[in-house]
Amino acid sequence: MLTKLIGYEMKAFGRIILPLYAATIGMAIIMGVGIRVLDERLFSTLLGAVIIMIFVSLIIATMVMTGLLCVQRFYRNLLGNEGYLMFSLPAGTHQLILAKVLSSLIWALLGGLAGICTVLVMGLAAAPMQDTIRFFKEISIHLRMLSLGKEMGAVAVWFVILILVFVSALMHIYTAIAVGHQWTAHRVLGSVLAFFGIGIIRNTIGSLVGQIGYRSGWADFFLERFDGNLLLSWQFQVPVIVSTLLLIAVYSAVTWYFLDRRLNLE
Amino acid sequence: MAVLECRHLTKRYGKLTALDNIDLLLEPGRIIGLVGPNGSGKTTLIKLAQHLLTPTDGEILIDGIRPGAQTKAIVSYLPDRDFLPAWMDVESLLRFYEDFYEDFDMNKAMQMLQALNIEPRRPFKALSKGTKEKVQLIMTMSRGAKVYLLDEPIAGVDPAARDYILRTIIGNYSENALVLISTHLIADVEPVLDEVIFLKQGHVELHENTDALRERTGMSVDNYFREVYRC
Amino acid sequence: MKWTFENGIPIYLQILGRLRTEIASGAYPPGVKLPAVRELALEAGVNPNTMQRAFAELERDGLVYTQRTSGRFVTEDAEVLKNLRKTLSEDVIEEMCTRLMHLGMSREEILSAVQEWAGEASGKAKNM
Repeated sequence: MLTKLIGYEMKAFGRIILPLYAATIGMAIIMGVGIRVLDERLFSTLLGAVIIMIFVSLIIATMVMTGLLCVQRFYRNLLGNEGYLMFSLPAGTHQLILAKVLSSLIWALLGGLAGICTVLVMGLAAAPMQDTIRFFKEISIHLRMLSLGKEMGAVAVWFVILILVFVSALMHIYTAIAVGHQWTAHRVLGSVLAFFGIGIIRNTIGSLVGQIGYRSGWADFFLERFDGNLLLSWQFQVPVIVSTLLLIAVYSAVTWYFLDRRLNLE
Repeated sequence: MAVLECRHLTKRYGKLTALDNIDLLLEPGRIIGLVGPNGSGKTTLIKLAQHLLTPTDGEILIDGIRPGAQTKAIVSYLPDRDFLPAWMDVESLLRFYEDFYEDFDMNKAMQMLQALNIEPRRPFKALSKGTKEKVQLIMTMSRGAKVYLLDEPIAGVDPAARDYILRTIIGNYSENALVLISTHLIADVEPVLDEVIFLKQGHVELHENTDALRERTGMSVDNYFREVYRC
Repeated sequence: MKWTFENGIPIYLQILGRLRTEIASGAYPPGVKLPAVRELALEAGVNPNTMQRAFAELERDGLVYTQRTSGRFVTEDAEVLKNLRKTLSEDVIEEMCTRLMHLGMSREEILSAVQEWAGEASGKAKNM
């Protein structure tokens, strides 16, 4: 059921996002070829300025659209008229929510991948073949060195943290929408207010926990072992991961409660 | 055994009471009309049965259990509004149903489309209102469900489409299935109904066999309905 | 012929009346197989249960019999059919006489009017 739901989300997102990817990569090729032919002179021509403007607009449009769709697919598809279809499927509410979260995450990651592809494609189009081959050789050497070092592990951990932070931010919005939907009128306003309300509650609890941590002394456990390297120390990473996971769990529970036990579609 | 049951079912929206302490037992093998003026609670009752609304008090049971993923597999629901993603074409919409509902009969649906000369490749949003309603009905009736909930299936369509929709409902009759049709156009559906439920301001005013009602009152259900709601 | 229903009379009774007339008139001749309930319900635009009820009444009156696998057939019992015609004609005669009496005609006047009509009708038939 979940895979079917996600598959459907892929189509709904893809029909809007994929053309944007294609256009962006297309512009990247045009820019690359321009650079190859005209070098830096490209940027001083009017045509070059236009190309860059379109290119940058496309990148911004793709990012904004991805973010917008992540929210809109939840708001419109579940709580608008299409909700009559989605909530009539033989799927649990948790599956409907999870499908939205996972598909948003997939599209965020695909967006990153598309960004890398855009840069690569532009490079390929801009540089002569020998340069490209040399470039890839160097990259692979660097990658091999990285994978041997402990930096690779840190990168992986930070990647996980990035994903968790994305999911928790997304779930924050979903929770706000689910709570805002309890109002009979002004549901959008309700969602916006709920968004800030939830933020305030979260920060308050966060600082409370921090204070308790300091006063009771258990925060010292982490602080004493802190070696000064913020980005690589587990003393920093573990609390971040645990607190974000907790936050996601609370958001999920609240969203599920309002969409399952208190659902009232307009 | 009842396939749809309401026990003291109550739904309030703020101060407004849409359904007030409703008790109903509906059995399979029946086509039942849910009638009443706008705001009498017809749509509220149907949405409660599909768990799109949460009861304020009491409960509603489908095949003995509370509405949820399990009941949605055996309930085929036609909402009173455009509920399909308009960007999909007709065939993808059918595939969507085929994907999610095990009881969906793709061949039957395609045959019905063909009989009505509806081009499967056309986007849903490009269809006329009457054709949209027909496609939605085809999708709903192509399932082999135990309960069909049809919310105003004939409102706002031309007489030919109305006739087609009613014939589809009769042609799809099954002894094991309950068909609940909400409507304010009783005259059109009257011959199709076994039983009729009159809702008035959130109460069940009457729940009776239609032929028994005609015999008892010497009136058509439609005329009797006009009498009851005259005030 | 299109099916239409009058207000205020149970629909199954209206269907029953129509099917009886069709059996009596030979539109459904003796021994012929009747359409399936579902098929006829679809044609009439009525609930299959209502059609079923009308069929059950026909069966109870012996006008129709069921063969387990192959369906429902019109009775071939001439006696039953004769009785059916008699019952139906009695209804018609009663209705006609009531209306004529309502017009102020006496029983004798009605009788002679009917005889006169029968004479003319047979005369017409001979001339044809």
